[in-house]
Order: sequence, then structure tokens, then C-alpha cells
Amino acid sequence: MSTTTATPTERRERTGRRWRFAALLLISLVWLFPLVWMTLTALSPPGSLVGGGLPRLGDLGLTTVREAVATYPVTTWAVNSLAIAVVAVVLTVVVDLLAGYVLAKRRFPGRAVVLMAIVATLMIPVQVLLIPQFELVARLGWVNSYWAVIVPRSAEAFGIFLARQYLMSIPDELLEAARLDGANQWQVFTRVILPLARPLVAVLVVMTFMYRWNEFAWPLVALRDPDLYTLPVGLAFLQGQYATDYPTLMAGALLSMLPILLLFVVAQRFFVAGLARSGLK
Amino acid sequence: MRDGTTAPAGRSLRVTRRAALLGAATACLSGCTGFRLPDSGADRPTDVLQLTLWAGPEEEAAFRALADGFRAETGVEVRLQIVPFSQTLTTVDTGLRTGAPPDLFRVTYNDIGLYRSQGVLRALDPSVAAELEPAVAEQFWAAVTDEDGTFGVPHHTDTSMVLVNTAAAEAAGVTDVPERLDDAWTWEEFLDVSRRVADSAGAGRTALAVNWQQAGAYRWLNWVDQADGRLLSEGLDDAAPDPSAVVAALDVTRTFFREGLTPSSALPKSSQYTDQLFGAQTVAMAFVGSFTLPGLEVPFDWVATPLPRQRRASADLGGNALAVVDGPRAEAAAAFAAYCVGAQQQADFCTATGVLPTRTDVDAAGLDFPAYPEVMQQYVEQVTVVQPDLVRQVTVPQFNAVNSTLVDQLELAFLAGERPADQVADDLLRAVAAEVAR
Amino acid sequence: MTARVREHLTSYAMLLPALVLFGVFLFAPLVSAVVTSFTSDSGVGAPEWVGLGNYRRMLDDDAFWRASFNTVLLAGVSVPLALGLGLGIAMLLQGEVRGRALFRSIVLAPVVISGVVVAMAGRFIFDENVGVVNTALGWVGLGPVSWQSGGGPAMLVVLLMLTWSRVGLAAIIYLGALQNVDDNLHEAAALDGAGWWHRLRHVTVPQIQPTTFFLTVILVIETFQVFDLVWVMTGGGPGRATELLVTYAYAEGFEARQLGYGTALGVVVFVVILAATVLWWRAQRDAEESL
Repeated sequence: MSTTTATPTERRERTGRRWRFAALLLISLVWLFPLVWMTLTALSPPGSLVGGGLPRLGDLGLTTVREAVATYPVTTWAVNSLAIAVVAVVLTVVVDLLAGYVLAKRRFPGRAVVLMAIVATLMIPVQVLLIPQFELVARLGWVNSYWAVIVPRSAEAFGIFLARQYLMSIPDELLEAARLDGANQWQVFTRVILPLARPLVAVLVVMTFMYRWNEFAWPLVALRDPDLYTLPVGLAFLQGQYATDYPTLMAGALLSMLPILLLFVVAQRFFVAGLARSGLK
Repeated sequence: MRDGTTAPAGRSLRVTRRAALLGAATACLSGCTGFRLPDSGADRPTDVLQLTLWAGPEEEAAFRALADGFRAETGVEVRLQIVPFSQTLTTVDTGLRTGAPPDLFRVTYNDIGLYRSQGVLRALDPSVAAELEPAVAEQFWAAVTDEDGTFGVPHHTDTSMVLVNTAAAEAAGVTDVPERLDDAWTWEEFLDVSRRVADSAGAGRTALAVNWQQAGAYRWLNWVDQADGRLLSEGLDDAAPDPSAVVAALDVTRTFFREGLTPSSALPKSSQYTDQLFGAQTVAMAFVGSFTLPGLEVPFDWVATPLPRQRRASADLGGNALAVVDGPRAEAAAAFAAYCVGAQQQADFCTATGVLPTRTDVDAAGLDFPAYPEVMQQYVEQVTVVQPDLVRQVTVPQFNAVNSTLVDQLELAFLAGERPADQVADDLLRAVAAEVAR
Repeated sequence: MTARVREHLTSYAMLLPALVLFGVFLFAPLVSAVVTSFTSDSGVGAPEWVGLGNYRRMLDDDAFWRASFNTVLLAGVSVPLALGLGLGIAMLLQGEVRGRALFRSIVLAPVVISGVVVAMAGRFIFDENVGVVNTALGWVGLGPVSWQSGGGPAMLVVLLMLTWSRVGLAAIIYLGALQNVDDNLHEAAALDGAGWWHRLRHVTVPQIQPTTFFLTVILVIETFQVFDLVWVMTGGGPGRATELLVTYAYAEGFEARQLGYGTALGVVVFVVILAATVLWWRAQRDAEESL
């Protein structure tokens, strides 16, 4: 028996591990509860919870979800969301990486000002910019096209800040070595920085995708044609003018949540690794 | 380059892959319509009208029928731009600000005042107005008219009544629920019934819920009007000088909260509507608009009774107007608006969507409402006491701000149960005065 | 052109996309928002110049002061809570424990969910009439809590849902920081007989100070921007108990149709949070230098 031969330290560690496991299990259950509850609600038949009852296991099924999909062009909206998110992610991540690299590793006049100005934009309440940004986009003739949704929100300070934090942790010696090998700035960026920045790219991709996917107010203003709506915008129709049916609402929420959770599960290892490194100095 | 011999091959490989990706991306870009930039101005032929509106499935079908009918008659096409309810006005506003507004839009009577006052709407042609006016009930005509003209048409209306859960009422010994307007409960009778119902209701249940949530806060003014008083002065540019009716209305509505006759969460800032509380049997009586009836499915018997009355009967102005934007297609748009309030068109629209006509020559008794036809006839009677006086107060240009103030002040009034009503009324009137003076 | 100038030009060339995007789509609209804040814009029609009128109006607007108080309160409570819980969970996740990756994902999952959905979940679960929380409290004989009609409980729900949706981020970032804490320091302290709490306070916390600083800035900024959660869940009520500056700004700008005033409120939020961040940054830098 290993327990009998274990040293006191080992035994203490094992008990500690057990306690930690129990604590994590408890936290996870609490954390999962809202998601589980939403799913149960979404799987209940429409109108079934009017009386304030709890979802009944026997009633669960896809009726509500199917009804939502049948009534509204959910697939079209999902494709629109995906197209917008993918293009926005590519654009934003490229901009973030370039700017993050320059601000982390290059010395040049005006660097502090640029950095501060970019970080300052984090603090602007987006609601204030809704109307002026729309007027701008209208002047560019972009209203009712995906570009109106994508381009203005590609100026994403948090991503640049994150990229800078992360890239600062790459040792300068590596960059200098590449310079000594005759690489120019662009080559340093593509051959040294990018290969080392994979976890960062994962974080930026997930974060940007999440922002774009969940975005509500701006696409609603910028798009005119319901055929171009994104999923969260389209699902606002489910809320109606007067009625609120919880199963229907939750079905919509579930539909809009699934893709982003899926992406998160796929990218989560890189995501965690990248995030963990960007909080360092 | 340390590895000069293999690098070019590797690079070319990478290049082709990138080219393929790029190609795929371009294919999608040109394929997905959303990535095409709309040609400015040319996205819509000059002779096609655009109507911006919110609409549920039945309403969408009814508006399409109107558009089709108009096209058959005049050859002019009307395109519907359907947006979520909460976004309709933002869509209209941003359109106006950037010179690309819709030609018409669906708007509540509370919201139309602002547009009227800012000179962005086209008044009806005097001859058209003169022809239409006699056919439309006075209070609805007043809702879209000021000294500069009539802006838009009163497309339809609706109002509130009190739905009563029969079993809950009987359990409280309330068996004679009035059906006709003339027999409506007075405030005292209504309070008495409410108390009895609340007493006999089970745990977690209570008597009533009023539909003054959010944009519906103006419905609280029914109580003021029933006490034969005003919120705004006769000139509509100040708060009413005499607060007594406001005090009386506060007294009775705060009693609901103080005595637990209404769920304490049934506040103006709540996002929960009264029909939900009614359906869940949390309350036995709910103030509910006629537009909720088509979607109302509850597993118990209920009846409708008129809004309580005091010195007079009064009901809230619900429903919508169609506003005509001042622009290059305003004439055709006005013609479409006038078409929509034709007697036959209005009758069809009301039947299909469960709302009430604004025209006096549409025989509502003959309308074949699909949901709860007898109850709808009661609503038809209730609408007759939508008072022109009250209508003028809730359609002032500043009414959005006034309604927001009502939400805020009523919420505070209901929560602070101990404060004397005259002080609360004072605060409320002062806040309202500040908004109408702006 | 000297090599140095060329280097600088390259730097700017790489920055160019960001500069153009930020300049055109954030700074230009910001300037026009500031202009709007000096007008009586209603959203429709021609606005009138009112100078500092909107800003003066705030001074005796009770709702504004209450919203400011609530916002600062929420930041003051929710940020330390998120940091504390985040650090706690990070320490639990550190080292070997069964199901570590799974636990990590579960805690992080709410981070990717939109504020609207979080709000709908909160509204539904904590509904004081039909919600599962009150039902469950009833089973164990506790009276129903007035989650919607009581100011305190309503704010508590906002706090809980906000915490749920963002502790994961703090935990994961802390987890990374903890991996860099020098184990030797811990062992040395342990040999000196330092207890668990002592080591946490005097070894771990100082070592992860930069991370704490970073997280504090991010979380405070985020708290000042909380909108969907409150808008959808409480509408700022009951009374003004959960009204925040941003929701109030939106309500004034778009519901009450006073875009000028609403924008002025938003500009104030921007200036205040910017000033607070700069001060906090300075204090942090001075503290580091004095070490």
C-alpha cells in the first residue's frame, strides 16, 4: 500500500490535492449551473414554463429550437455572422500583431503617445460613438454591407494591448540575433515573432471572434437588410414587442452561444497558454 | 539565408497555399452579397417606396397585403424594411441624419410628436386631410395633428382593459364582474375587490398587475385623467398647476404596493409584462392591451372588465400611426398612407392583427376577430373613452423625455411607500415641468 | 536617409493600419461626440448649441449622482472580488489535480458568452416570482428574496452575474503568473517556518503584483462599461438601485431622446475613467520606484 509508505509531506500533499479537487468540483458545479439551466429551459416546449414551473425531464426535446429555426432564417444569419467574424478576425489579428510588435519591441519617437492614445480608447463608452460612427460609415457608403460592421470595430485596443504585453516577454536577444543574421524588420516579424506568437494568435482569434460574434448594437445599426443580419441581431426578433417566452428566448440564446463555445473548446489549450503569458510584465 | 537551397522551394509552396487561400477568400467576398458595397442611391429605384416598421408574423402579412393592394391600384411598389421593435426609431433617425431615410415609418403616438416638431415629416395635403378627418375619431386625429397640419395617419389603435381570472374572483366572492363600460368599477369598488382577491389568493399570489412598464409608463396617466385632472398644463408647456388629481392617482396606485395588492416587482422599470404574471396566475387581475390577446393562451377561464373609473372613464391611447417623411417620394408615400387608412383596408388590418380601428365608419361590431371576438368587442367600447385631452398630453414633442421621467419618478414613488403623496406629486410634477420646458 | 530614420519609418509603416483605423473610426467620432455633448441634439432635426448646459445639468441631476455612486460601488466591490476569487481558483488549479483542464474550461466558459445572454440567464434564474433560486430557497424554508423589487438584492444579482462572467479570465491570467513565482522563495519561507497565509501574503502576492495591476486596470475599465447586463436584466431598477452611468447615458440619449445630454454623460465617463487610470498608473510606477 502506497499510503503506508508515504512520507508525511507526501501524505499532506495528497490530502491537499483531494481538498483542492473537492473545491474545484463545487466551483464548477456552481459555474455550470446557469448554462445547464438555460439548456434545460431551451429544451422545454414553448410556453411550458408560463406557470413558473421547473422544466420537466419528460418534456425535453428540440421543439422550441426547431420552431425558432423554422420561423426565422437562422441559417442565413449564422452564415452572415460567420462571414463577418472570420474576415474581422483576420483583419484585426493582423493589425493587432503588427502594432503590438512595434509597441513592444521598437523604440521610435512618439511611441508613448501612440500607446497611450490606443489604450485610452478602451475607456470610451461605445454607446457614445454609435451615432457618429454611423454617420461616418454612411459617408463612406458602407451602410448595409459587412464592411460597415467589420472595419470600424477592427480598431481594437484590448487586442493590441494584449499583443504588446505578450510580445514583450520575447527576449530581445532573439530579435538581435536575427538582425545580426541580416534579417530586416519585416523578416524579424514574420520569422521570429510570428512563430513564437502562436498562443497569442490563439488568444486574439478567440477574443476577436467572441467580440464580433456577440456584438449586438452596432450591426443592428449598420445593417439595414434583415437578410444580412447576424445571429444575435436576428434573434432579437424572438424577443418581440410584447411577449417574452423564456423557452423561446433561451433557445435563441443557446443557438447564438453554441458556435462560440465550440470554438473555445477547440482553441482552449492555446487560448489558456496565451492568456497566461500576457498578464506578465 | 542559412538554408539557401531549400528556401525557395519552401517559399513557393507557401506562396501557392497563400494564393489558394486568397483565391478562396476572393470567391467568397464576391459571392456573399454582404461584402458588396451598395451603390449609393441606386440600391432602390426612385419610384419604389420604403416603409420601415416592426412587425410580428401576422402584422407582416397584413402590411404585405396593404403593399400588394396599393401596387395593384397605383402600380407603385412599397418595400417593407422590418426591424426589431427596439430599433425602429434608431433606424429612422440614422437614416434621417445621413440623408437616406425611409419614405414612411410605423411609429407609436407617443413618439410621433418629436418628429412632427423637428420638421422632418410631410403634412398631409389639405384636401386629403379634409376628406379623411370626418371619418376618423377625434382623439386619434388629434394625436397626429398640430397647428401646422396633420402628419401621418392614425393607422390603428388599441387600449387596455382588466382581465380577471374567474376562479380567483369567485373564490373571493366576486361574482358580478362588470362587462359594460357604464358599469365599470369605481376606484373604491376596484380596491375593495382587489383586497378581497388578495386575501383569498394562495401563497405567492396576489390581486393585480398594471401595465405601466417602460414605454407603457404613460398608461399611469389614465388614473390622473380618471380623476379629471392633468399632468401637463393646458398650454402643454409646463406641468399642471393643480396637483390634486396627480395626488389622487398616486394615492390609489401606491396603495397597490403598500397593501401588497400587486407583486412588489411589478414596477415601471421591470421587464416583465402583466400578461406573464396573469398567465402564471401570480395575479388574478391584469391590465392588458388588446394586442396581447392573439398570443394569450392560459389554462383557465377569464373575463374582461373595463378600466376602473372615478370622476370619469378614461383609457390609454395605444396603437400606431404611419408617418410620412418629407422627401422626394413624399407624395406617393402620403398616398400610400391614405390608402392604408381606407375603411376596407383598416377593417382588414384590424381583423388580421387584433387591433382596433381609428375610423368611425368602420363597423367594429362587424369585424371578425379571430381571437376572443367577444372580448375584442368590449375593447371596442373601451376605446371610445380614450380622451382627446389626455391624447394631446401624451403626444407632445417632449413626450419621450416625459415618459422616461414617469418611469423614474413612479418607480421611486412606489418604492417609498411612506412618503406623503403630495410631496411625491410635487417631485414628479417638478421633474415633468423640467422636461417639457427643455 | 539614415538607417535610423529608415528604422523609424518601418516602425510607423507597421503601425499604419492601426493608426488609420483608430484615427478614422475612433478619434474622429469621439471628436464629433464631444461636439454633440455641447448641443441639445434630440437625434432628429437640427441641434442647438447649448455650451456647457448639459454638463451643468448633471450637477443637480440626482439620477446622475446615484448612477455614479452605483458605478463606483460596483467597481469597488466587483473588482476585488474578481481578483480574490480569480487568485483563489488559480491556486486551486496550480499543480497536479485531477480534471484540471476540464475545470479550467468550465471556469473560463462564461467569459465567451455575450452580456445579453448572461443577463437573460440572470433574469430568469433569479426571477423573484417564478425563478429557480427562490423555488429552491422555498424548499429549504427560506422566504423568497426580492431579487427584482429590493435594491440590495437586485444589485447583488448584478454583482453575481458579472462575477460569474469574468472570474475565469482573472483566474487564467493569475495561473500564468503563479507559474512564474520563484519556487525557491516559497521553500525558503517554508523552511523559515512561515505558514500558508504568511507565504501567500509575503511571497506570492508581491511576486504577482504586475499581474494584479494589469487585471485591476482591465477590470475597472470593464466595470465602467457594463451595459447589456444591467439594461436587459434590471433596466436600472428597482428605483435607481442598479442604474449605472453607461445605462443612464443610453437611457437619456436614446429612450428620452436627449442625445446631447446622453452623449455628455458618456464623455464624463470617458474623462473620469481616463483620469483614474492615469493616476493609478502613476501611483503604481512611483510605488515600484520606491521599492
